[in-house]
Amino acid sequence: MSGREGRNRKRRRITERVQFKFVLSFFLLVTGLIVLLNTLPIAASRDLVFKEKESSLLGQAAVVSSSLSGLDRMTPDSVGQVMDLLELSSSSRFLVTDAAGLVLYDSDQPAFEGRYALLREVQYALNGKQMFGSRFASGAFFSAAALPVRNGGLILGTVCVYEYDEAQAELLLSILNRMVGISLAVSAAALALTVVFSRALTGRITRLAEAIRVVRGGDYEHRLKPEGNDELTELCEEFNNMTQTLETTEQQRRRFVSDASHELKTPLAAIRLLADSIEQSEGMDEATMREFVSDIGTEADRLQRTTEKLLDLSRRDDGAAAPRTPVDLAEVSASTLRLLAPLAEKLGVTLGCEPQPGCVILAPEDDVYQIVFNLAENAVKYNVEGGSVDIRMRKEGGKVLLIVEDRGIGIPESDLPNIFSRFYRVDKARSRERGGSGLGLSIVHDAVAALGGSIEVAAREGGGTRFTVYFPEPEKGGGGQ
Amino acid sequence: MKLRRLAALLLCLGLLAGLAGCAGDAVQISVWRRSEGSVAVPESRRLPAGTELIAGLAAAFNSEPDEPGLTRAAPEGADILGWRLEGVELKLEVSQGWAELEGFERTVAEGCAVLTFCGIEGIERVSFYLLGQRLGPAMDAGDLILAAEMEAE
Repeated sequence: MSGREGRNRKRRRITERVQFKFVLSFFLLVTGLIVLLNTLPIAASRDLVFKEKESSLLGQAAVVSSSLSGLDRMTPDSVGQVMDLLELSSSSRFLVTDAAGLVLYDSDQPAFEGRYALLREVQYALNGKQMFGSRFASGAFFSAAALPVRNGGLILGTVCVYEYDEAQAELLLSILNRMVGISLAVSAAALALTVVFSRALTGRITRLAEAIRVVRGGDYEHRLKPEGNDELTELCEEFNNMTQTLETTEQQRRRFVSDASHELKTPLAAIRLLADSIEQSEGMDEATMREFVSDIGTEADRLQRTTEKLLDLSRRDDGAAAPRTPVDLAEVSASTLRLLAPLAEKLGVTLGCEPQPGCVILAPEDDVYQIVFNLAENAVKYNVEGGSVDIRMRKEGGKVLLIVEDRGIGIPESDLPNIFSRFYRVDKARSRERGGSGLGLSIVHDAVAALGGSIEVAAREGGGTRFTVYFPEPEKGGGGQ
Repeated sequence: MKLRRLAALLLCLGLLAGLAGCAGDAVQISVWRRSEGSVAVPESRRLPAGTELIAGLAAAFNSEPDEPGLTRAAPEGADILGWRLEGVELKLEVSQGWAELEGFERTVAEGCAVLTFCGIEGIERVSFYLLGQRLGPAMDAGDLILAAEMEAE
């Protein structure tokens, strides 16, 4: 994929988009809720009507049954006479049969009289049970109730009451239609709002993805403007923090490459200049030539030291870890001071050490030597004639402290935050003059960090600088790794 | 090519099925049964080829239903024993158990018999006899109410 293609937005089908999924799920949820809210009240209303019908129709059947139970024998005439005396509801149909199911009376359809009713309600009632049934269909409630007509222990016949009610059904249907209308409007509004909100949400995600593409393209200065105060805002802020870190890292990388090139180029240029001078100067006296060759050696040494230190830093960056063994800081300090004694004597600097027994840490021995040596060497090199360097150590709060302080020229307050940066020099001319590479304190910092410790630097009262290294104290019984 | 073979095969299968149907020549009939839910409901039966229709219907009426949830229209012991057709009236000779049926039981049994036999072309009424004695007036399908649906006035 080329860079241009990579920067382009990936095309997705509508069903693959987050917005579509969001809208669909929310819409389905709303629709489901609306269906439920529509169904439940209608079902409840329908059940209420059923109950009311049951009570009404069974009540009417009971009145008729009770009136007919006084008859000795149920005949069309006797039943007709009783029914004529009763004030019956005109909205209901009354059907009376004898014990054989023969229709003796039908208030609505007299043509049914004299015919046999092979009806479920008649069968129930003739079995001595009361029966009620109601159904809501075709825009009407159709209800039926039946009761036996008893005379003593004998079942003389049945009374069936039927009702066909369109009025209540119409009312129920009108409520249903109204609710459906409202529901459709609510669903449409919910859908529209979901589209708007989801677009706002996915729009922010899209802007974030676009910003990531821009940064991936190398524009580390690109930032997002956080909107609102939600999780996406947090994500935007984290993105900005990450981009800031990337930008800083990129700047450091560029500076490091530039500094490293410069540090390597300077001794090489000097060597080249000196070599050219020897080559081009005919009849150069031996003393001058020796001096030039000596200078070439000095520059080559500087180049070698810089290269070695760069390799050391690179090894640490790669995370290569040497085996850890118990190392006594007092022994390392004493050994280091012995190595530095000639230099200190040359510069007129006094070395001092207060060995403290038991200040043992768990670390690669070479790393500890490098830490102590670099700190002590710097303290000697950047000192003044008649100055001093002191090394102390002690245990404190679960840490083993190494303190290297000098009474030298000190470090300006403004330079303190940068002294552990690679190739950073407080006084460039003096540093080069004394063979410094600008990498010593970086190596110390990285080595201490790799051991799980920390380092502090502060100006010493009365002049000079104090470095305090905090090493983690080894756990009791812990051995080397 | 494959499509043609498939079509030919399907045609052959269709012809075979048709021939098998002709050879069977079964007659579809409806026998009315008693049901807990609706009192009387028709049950579809097939009469074997060559069976006399009314005799086959009578035998089917006396037999136990195949469909679950249905029972014979008449209780055990109440059977149709014979028949004779006079004009459009079918006279059924029934058993003593039938004659002893009372009330709604008898109405359902006779009603189901009427509905069953009046389904045959040429039969309009059915009457019931015990040992040549008429048990009641002849009935037709119009004498029976199977539903009491009401409609808006």
